[in-house]
Amino acid sequence: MVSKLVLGVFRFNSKTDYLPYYKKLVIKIDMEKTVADLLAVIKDDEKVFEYPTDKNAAIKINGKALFTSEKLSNIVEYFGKELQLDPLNSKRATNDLCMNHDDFKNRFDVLDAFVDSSDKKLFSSYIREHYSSPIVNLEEEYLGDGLFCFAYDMIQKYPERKSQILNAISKQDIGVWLHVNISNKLFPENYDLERKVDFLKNEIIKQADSANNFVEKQKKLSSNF
Amino acid sequence: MAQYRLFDNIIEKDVASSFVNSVKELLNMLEIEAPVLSNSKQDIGTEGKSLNEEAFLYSNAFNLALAKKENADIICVEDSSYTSLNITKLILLENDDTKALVVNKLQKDGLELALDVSVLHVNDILKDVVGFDKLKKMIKRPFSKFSAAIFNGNKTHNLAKNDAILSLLELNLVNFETQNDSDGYEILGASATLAKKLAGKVMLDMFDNAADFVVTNDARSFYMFDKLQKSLETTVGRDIELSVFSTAQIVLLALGYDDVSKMGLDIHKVVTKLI
Repeated sequence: MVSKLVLGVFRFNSKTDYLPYYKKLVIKIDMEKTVADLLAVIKDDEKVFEYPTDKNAAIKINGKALFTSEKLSNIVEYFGKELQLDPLNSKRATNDLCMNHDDFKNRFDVLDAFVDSSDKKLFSSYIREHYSSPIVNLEEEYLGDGLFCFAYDMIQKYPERKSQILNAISKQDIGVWLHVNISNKLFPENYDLERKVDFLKNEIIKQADSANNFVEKQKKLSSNF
Repeated sequence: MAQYRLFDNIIEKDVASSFVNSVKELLNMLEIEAPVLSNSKQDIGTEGKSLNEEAFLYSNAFNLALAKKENADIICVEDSSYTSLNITKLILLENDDTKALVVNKLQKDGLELALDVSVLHVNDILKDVVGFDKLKKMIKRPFSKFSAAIFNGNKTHNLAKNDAILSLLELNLVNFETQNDSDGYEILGASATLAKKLAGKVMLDMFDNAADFVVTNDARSFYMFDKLQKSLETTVGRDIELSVFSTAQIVLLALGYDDVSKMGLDIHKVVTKLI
């Protein structure tokens, strides 16, 4: 079924623009197509328009982070036909919906020593989680929710490295303790991240000893529950 | 007729005691009998769950078992306890090993696990037991001259019901971008600075969208927005001065109730100009 979508598309070029703006577009498109297809139509119309096209390409629609492989019928069913398209994190936008991912990519190094280089593929799939947290905009060194999802997966894969992995993410000022619930910032809504973070915090608390004062405080607190 | 027990052992109960007192007064006014669930364990919220899931599940299962013993459903006065009790039911229904652990602990207390106890929000009572028709007829002071910012945080369930109740009172609901953002409570222990930045951003958004006051049904959000409001003003460098209420408090006021002290409004940090 073909539907008419009313779009507000984030436009910005970090080399030439001081501020971003939203370009209003009305596009008729088959609802069986994907967000990636819609972005290709926009590019056809606009000529100059950049958007992510890699395997884990993701953007924000009406404030929620999603992969561009998502079908438009699902998008319209949930959001309606008026859609605002933004990069995953507008503060890191370089060219329209494309952005600088270096901070996310570098987070892999935190666990690099405990995992295999082939695991990087899985890590990269957590880009939505990383940029959906408001903490990445407040604390530059925050390890990020993407890394916490990955840490959980790696503990399942390499249980013998659990202790090292947990230690790597348990610092008070940049670690898992700064995680805030972002389930409703993802589309489709997803509670896996919360489940994984709960597991990680519970396991950190259960660790025999810790040189981390904050963890010791949390242990005391939880023992009184 | 259903029997109810009111769960009053809420998270941040010293700060948010008005949430409990207001619901007690409201149920009394609506002639719904709901004695307090005695000897309950305090809600530790999803924050407690993330530190010690076993203790979280046990304390909630304990409260469910107490209600079952009295053959009663539980009425929650706010969102955290409502979520905690319902999540506990879901987790224990799906996980046999954890369930066995909890059953064992409850047995030592002389209690039996009861996952069939209904856990209701006070908003459920207003909609499904009292009914909107009756409630509308009881309104003495509509809120048509006021605009409120409803803060939902990360909650996604039962929002329409809350909006419907407030709209019934003719309250104008303000749209604001950060309605579903974090209020920072969950990281308050790890970084008070970042937590206050998050809460301050939300409050400024509500203020800038011309809200006369804030409505939240979560004791944790109340803690951030009311108790810490002066501190948030310092963080964001602006005055905020927004009173914070629960839906039950707004309903009570609309029904003509004006005993501020019995409702507990006199202990709110940001004194309201509505009354």
